[in-house]
Amino acid sequence: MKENASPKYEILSLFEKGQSERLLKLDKLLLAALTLVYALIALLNLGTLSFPTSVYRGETGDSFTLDFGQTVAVDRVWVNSNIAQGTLRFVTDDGEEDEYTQDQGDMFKWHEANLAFTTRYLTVQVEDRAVAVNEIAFFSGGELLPVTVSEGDALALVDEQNTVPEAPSYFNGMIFDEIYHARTAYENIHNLSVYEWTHPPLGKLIIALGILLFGMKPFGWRIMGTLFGVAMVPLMYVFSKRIFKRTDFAFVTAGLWAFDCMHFTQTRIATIDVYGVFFILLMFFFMYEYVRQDYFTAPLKDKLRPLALSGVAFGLGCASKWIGCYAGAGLAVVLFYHLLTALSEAYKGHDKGAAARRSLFWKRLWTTAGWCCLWFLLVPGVIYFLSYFPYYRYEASLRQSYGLRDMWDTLIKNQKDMYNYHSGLTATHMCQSTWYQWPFTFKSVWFYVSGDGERISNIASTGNPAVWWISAVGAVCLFLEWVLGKVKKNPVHPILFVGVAANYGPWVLVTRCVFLYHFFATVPFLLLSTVYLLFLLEQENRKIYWIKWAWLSLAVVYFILLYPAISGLPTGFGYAGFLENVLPASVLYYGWV
Amino acid sequence: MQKKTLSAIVAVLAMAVLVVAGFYFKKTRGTAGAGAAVSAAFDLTSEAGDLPDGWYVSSYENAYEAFGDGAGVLTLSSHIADDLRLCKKITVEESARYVFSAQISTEGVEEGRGASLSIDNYSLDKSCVYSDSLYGDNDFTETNLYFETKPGQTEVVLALRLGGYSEASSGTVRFKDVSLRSGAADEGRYQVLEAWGGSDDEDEDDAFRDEEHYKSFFAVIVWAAVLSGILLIFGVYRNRRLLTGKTLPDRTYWSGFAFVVVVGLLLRLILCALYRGHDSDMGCFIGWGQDVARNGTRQFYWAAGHDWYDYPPGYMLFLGGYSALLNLFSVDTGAVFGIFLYMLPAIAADLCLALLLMNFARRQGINNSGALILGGLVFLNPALLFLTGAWGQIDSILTVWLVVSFLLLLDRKPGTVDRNRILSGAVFGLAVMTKWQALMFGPMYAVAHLFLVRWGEKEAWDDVRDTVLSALAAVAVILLISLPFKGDQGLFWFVDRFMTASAHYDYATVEAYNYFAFCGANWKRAGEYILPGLLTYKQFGTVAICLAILCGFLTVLRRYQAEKRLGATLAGDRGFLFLAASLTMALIFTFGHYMHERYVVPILVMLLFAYAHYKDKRLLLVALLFTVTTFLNEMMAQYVVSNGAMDVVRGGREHNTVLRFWAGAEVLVCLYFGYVVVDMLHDLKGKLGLVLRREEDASPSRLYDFIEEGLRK
Repeated sequence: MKENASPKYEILSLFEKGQSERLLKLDKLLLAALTLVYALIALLNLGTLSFPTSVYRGETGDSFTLDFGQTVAVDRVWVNSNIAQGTLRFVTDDGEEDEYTQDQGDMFKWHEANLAFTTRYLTVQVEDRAVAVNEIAFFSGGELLPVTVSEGDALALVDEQNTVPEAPSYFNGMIFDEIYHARTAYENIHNLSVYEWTHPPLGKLIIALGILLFGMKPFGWRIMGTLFGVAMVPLMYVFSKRIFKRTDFAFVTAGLWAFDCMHFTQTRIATIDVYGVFFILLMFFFMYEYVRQDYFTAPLKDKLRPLALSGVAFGLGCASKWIGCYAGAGLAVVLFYHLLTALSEAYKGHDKGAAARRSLFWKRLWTTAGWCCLWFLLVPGVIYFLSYFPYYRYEASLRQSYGLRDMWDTLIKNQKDMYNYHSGLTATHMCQSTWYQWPFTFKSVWFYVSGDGERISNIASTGNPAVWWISAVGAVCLFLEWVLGKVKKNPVHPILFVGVAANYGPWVLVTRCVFLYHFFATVPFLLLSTVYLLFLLEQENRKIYWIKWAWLSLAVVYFILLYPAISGLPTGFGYAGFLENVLPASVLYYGWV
Repeated sequence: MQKKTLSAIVAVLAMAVLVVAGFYFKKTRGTAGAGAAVSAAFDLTSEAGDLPDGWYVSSYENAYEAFGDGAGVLTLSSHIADDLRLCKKITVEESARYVFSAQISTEGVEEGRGASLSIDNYSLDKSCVYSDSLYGDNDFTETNLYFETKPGQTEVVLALRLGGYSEASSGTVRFKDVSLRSGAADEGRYQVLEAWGGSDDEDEDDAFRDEEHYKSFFAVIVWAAVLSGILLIFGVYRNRRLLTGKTLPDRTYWSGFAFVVVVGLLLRLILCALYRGHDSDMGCFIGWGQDVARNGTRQFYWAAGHDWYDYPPGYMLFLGGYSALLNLFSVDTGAVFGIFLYMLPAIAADLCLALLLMNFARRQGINNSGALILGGLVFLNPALLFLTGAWGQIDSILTVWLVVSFLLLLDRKPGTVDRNRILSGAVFGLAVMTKWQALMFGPMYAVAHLFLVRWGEKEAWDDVRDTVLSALAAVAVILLISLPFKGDQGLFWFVDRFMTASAHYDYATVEAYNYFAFCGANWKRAGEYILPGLLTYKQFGTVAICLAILCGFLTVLRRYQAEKRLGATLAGDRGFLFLAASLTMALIFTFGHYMHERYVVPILVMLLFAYAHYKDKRLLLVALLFTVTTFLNEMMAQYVVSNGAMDVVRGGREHNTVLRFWAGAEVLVCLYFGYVVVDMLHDLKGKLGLVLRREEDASPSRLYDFIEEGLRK
């Protein structure tokens, strides 16, 4: 009573009022504010909407002439390529020749071609194979040169000169693995042979949705991932509200997740990890919804609904990335644990009630088993099968007849290819790391770095040390508590521990080179575990209520400090040096410029 | 009747044996035949458009066509350059020669490796060979690939191939009459299925992997330190009631301690087997011990090539006798057990420290369970475990002498001559003769003597006399021990040796994770500038050491004043010397120069003694935090100079990141310790304490509560 009367506990009492697993008015307010703030930060400088979309396609032997209007000394040429691998030959008025060959890594970005010449007319010939170019920009002394073209088809090469940026950067071109995933999304839309086949297609289909909405532009190929990243914030809020039934803990958990650096970076790039992680989080959330309800007393309908939704999320997760399958194995463990607990309860005691419980157990078990077969086998199977629609469409376009059996063969072939690729991959990568290095963010994954001598822009995918390091320690502490039987039984325990084990464990065994972002799916569970530990400790000793706020503040401070390194915001060399060499965090690759 | 039954059973059994044997031989023959079965043409017929059974396509670009015509001709086609393979995995004999043949026709095959036959074992054992290639347009041409399997190689992947690794090709290729047969020795040039290792890329990959492997151990070290921190700090926090509330019967207490000892010994034995001691330190101890045992003490410091022998003679004397004893039993000093025996004195010292602390704690009113926890925190202390089990250093022995000396000094024996104080001096002499670092505790020792004099009382002269006798005892012990090593030198030969030893490591910090390491001065010369043109590390360190001693002095002074206000003397406080010495040494380690990673070890134990007396839990926390930083510091220091990691990772970014972060953490722990001491003293003084006091923090463990109580009385 005395403590509650003290002013410093006022905030605490405010949050403690009306403990509920549902969202109260305050929850809705805080949740909306947090989501909005994060969305604004995530959408800021995400990518340009000013990007060339018309394409010039040429075959060997095609030729056309560009006219600069007067003789000019071109000292820089940027080529924005589409999907092709051919060679262009440039011939000047004086008969000087030079070549540019399209490379797989240079597509959908302003790539500086190693060309310089003086001419008025520039004859361009397709020298080898086929080329596809969105736009070419010619510069003289830093000025963009106006240029016209003789050939009608080739107009597409120079028709969107207003999209030429001041400088090529992450903002106006593909970075890192976008050259696989975003390109494949484009191929899916245009019924082309897929370039990226080492992961299931759903993630790329979702990226394609953004491209359909906003065009094949950086903003278009990144927006869906970013929106999924934004959606993770309310999901995390609701998940933790269900666990803790406390507004403050839900807000802190969602805040810590929102301001995690990897959550920010990994959802602002057009790769597919975000979808895998989102659906994993969703499937565990629904599984928690299932296991937290009493096996015997909860209405069966209420219990089966989340189970079905979990199965759908599982199917979507698997169809996005195979990490969904690992998580699915974890779901099975959680489910069996729940059923075994119910079984032991059913066979406790010998009274009349016990007999009724036993009969109810078996009755519900068979219903649940049948339901699981439907939602965890059949529905995910159908989702997975349907996600290969772009493959079927492409294959069908090549052949005269293409039936269900062929679809199946296509599907199976890709599964084998994927397995062979991942199991046979022996290549090394400069950003590769080992699983035990991940929780302490030893090595980030480099996405982008560029400098102009004064300022430096960098994107590194790394964890927020304030979130990851503390979560790693907290999760171990909670696990110890649990092993030593110091915490009361709660259905959330298997969710948290299995969530960590199922998402982290497989990487211990994988022999191919692996990266820090493979830990992405584990972090929410470590975070929830640590917040849960804090929740338990606070229940024992209310005086430590401030720790969670201090933790959130530290994470926000870290996020702000690291923002230039994770967002690509250009910064001075002095600050870059501070981030790289002084601030405790992972390697950020500023040193590369 | 019985005979008939028996005969029937025997007959049935015999039949069963025959049947089983028949199956067995059939199966064995089948297995043996698996390799032989490939010595034949492959059936490539299938439904038109499909591939024959067992064949699968592997492609890099995935924009291909691959099908059979149903009559034994397989087609591979790609309009973009690709490494396209039609593969089949088969079983072969190891160390055998084979000829892989096919008829190949090509149409517009360009670039790269062209059309060929290949063994694509890259995913199995990194080997890959090709036949001669075909380019452009060709009618069906017979192509042979002669290859030889290596010992242990029993599987190969046959590949009908367009392009190759990093040699992509485009066009259309057709294959027919594919066969594999055993080859004769003189039939062709057989390519052995060696793993690719000759190319620069492979070498670079391997070097990269090695480097990454070494670097990744930093994460293991950090994990070890963090987990130990969790176990220690969280474990003690969760069991805090055992420290004060609950207790144990004596019998459980001792059996608990036996358990701690057994676990501690086992862990040290495992660590010893894993690490076999620090490469150079352990070699020195064994070599020096054997030298003294064989050649005596006289020549030890003065023989040719021995001028760098920088340990004081005390431990050398012991090592000589100990080695002689071990030699009696012909102990193999290269074996794990031999090394463990050389670690044993330091391990015994750990045990002594645990017992001394437990005894001290019980005398300070801590219950059995609390004392047992404190004992466990010493004998199972990760920093001490690693130091005595994995490294083989003897800082624990030094700590034992220091602690014994402190305890004797604080345990006044009534009588005309305080024998304990004189003994304390003698033991301090032993400490100096064990490791020169003991001298860093000298000033605190002097300060303690100073304040133990009962000023203004007639017995003060007795105290002065005892102090003089104590100092004389220390000098006597030092002289006595150094005498056998004197050789032809003067009586104080060791002074010169000490000066030489301290000059050996003229660095700002030698792998000690302290403030200088945080500033990036690990292994930097002490004469370099920390503030350009203004202040060198040595000057900074010297000032810091003086200030650290001053802090120690002020700590004792405050305690003295507080006791005096209560009408008591400092002699009644059994904790002040441990507290002041810990603070001084922590400050010297953190801000001083010439520091090595292990110099902080004595304070891990001394802080526990201080806790046992004052029962301020923050002291326990500081001890545990120092334990974690020291543990990591020791592991890192040991790792970067051994295991081949030295050339690869030392001074690299990962090393520096871990070093600076943990050095920063050590500085923070030291500053927190400083704050704790200041807070304790201010509370003690009763001025700031009253202002800062919070009601909920009221705890009988605080010093000021004793004072308050005393004042009330």
